[in-house]
Amino acid sequence: MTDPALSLDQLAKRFDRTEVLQGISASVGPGEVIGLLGLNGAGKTTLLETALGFSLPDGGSARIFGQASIEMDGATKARIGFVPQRDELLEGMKAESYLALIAEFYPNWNRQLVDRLAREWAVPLATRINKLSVGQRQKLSIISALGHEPDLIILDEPVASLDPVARRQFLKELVDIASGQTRSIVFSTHIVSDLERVASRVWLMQEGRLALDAGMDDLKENIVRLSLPKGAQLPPAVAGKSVLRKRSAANGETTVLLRDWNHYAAADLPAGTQIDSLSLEDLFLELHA
Amino acid sequence: MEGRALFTLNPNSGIPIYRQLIEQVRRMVASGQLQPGNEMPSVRELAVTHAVNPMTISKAYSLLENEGLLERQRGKAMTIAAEHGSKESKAARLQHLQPAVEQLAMAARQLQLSPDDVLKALKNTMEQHDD
Repeated sequence: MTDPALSLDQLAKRFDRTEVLQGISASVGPGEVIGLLGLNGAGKTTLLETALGFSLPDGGSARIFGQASIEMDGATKARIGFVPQRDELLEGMKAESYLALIAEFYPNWNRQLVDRLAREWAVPLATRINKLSVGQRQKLSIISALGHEPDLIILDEPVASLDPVARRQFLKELVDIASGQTRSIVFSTHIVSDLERVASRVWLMQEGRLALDAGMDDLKENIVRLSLPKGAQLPPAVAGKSVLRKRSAANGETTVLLRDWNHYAAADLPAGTQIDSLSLEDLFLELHA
Repeated sequence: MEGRALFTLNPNSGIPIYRQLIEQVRRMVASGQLQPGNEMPSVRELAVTHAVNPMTISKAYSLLENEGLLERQRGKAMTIAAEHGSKESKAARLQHLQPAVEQLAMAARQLQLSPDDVLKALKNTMEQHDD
């Protein structure tokens, strides 16, 4: 059996007294595209950077292709492509010289791929990096992380500065990579609709925990919003651990966010209950309501 | 076959993409827009065209293959299965009706009507329309 691209076991991280990651366990298999969601400060960047071994965890472990992230060998590191939230490009260099420099580190650098992306994404290669727009810098940062065709691609808000056309081009590139069914992608974003398109699985972080780790199809089929009529209660058979969230309005109506809907049926609910399936954005808002 | 022209996929609805695709293929076969032997776009082609996750597309193809609506020839594109010409099996046609049946069943439960009551009403309605 091959090792998962990434596996987290009770991963914990503290900054001063704040527990930024509170024991996160999850894994990423081949061909998976993980979309990482969460409010600012939920711990997304810390999760990605600790998973990559940039700093020592305060508990638990992160492994990449079976090796502990904090002591990976060169061969394993060469299988990773990382796009940080703030690019680490070298200001005075021309874009093409920067790409040539990165290429030096990788014997398998795919020059054709890099040239094609730079052309399609309209990155001016002869321009100095400090003269590039924010969007052009972001594109260059992404291209420089894809050139060695890594098996695990981790991107921290890669589309924040991209316009809708550039975002769509980028998403199509991710989809093309994922279509091979062997390489894995983890990316964080605030643009829920993008993530909803291309992610096979959603990780939703809330206050340092994974509040949700679910396949996209599973999430849409098996998480529903129930609007109970005034005064009605959720029957004991349906209550319990399937309830993700429950809200009572002042007018006596109760809204319940329920998982494992496939285990239940409309007949289990009080008459007059409204059952809605949710878009990912609706679900995100419900979980933060 | 051009992916974009063929299907309408809305990733931002509450319905999983694979379900949307399955429904559309079923309907297009039932209506004859897709004929036996027609080639389906590859998973990659369809996923990239629509910028959606490829796993959900291949899930739709696999389920449609299990259903007998698509067939896969080794190393070739998925095609609409031969036996799915103009006539659809009863089971397949019933499948098209299933969402409406589920809605009817829910309404009946909320109105506290028995299956017998509902069947009688349904039978009357269908016979009226047959006249």
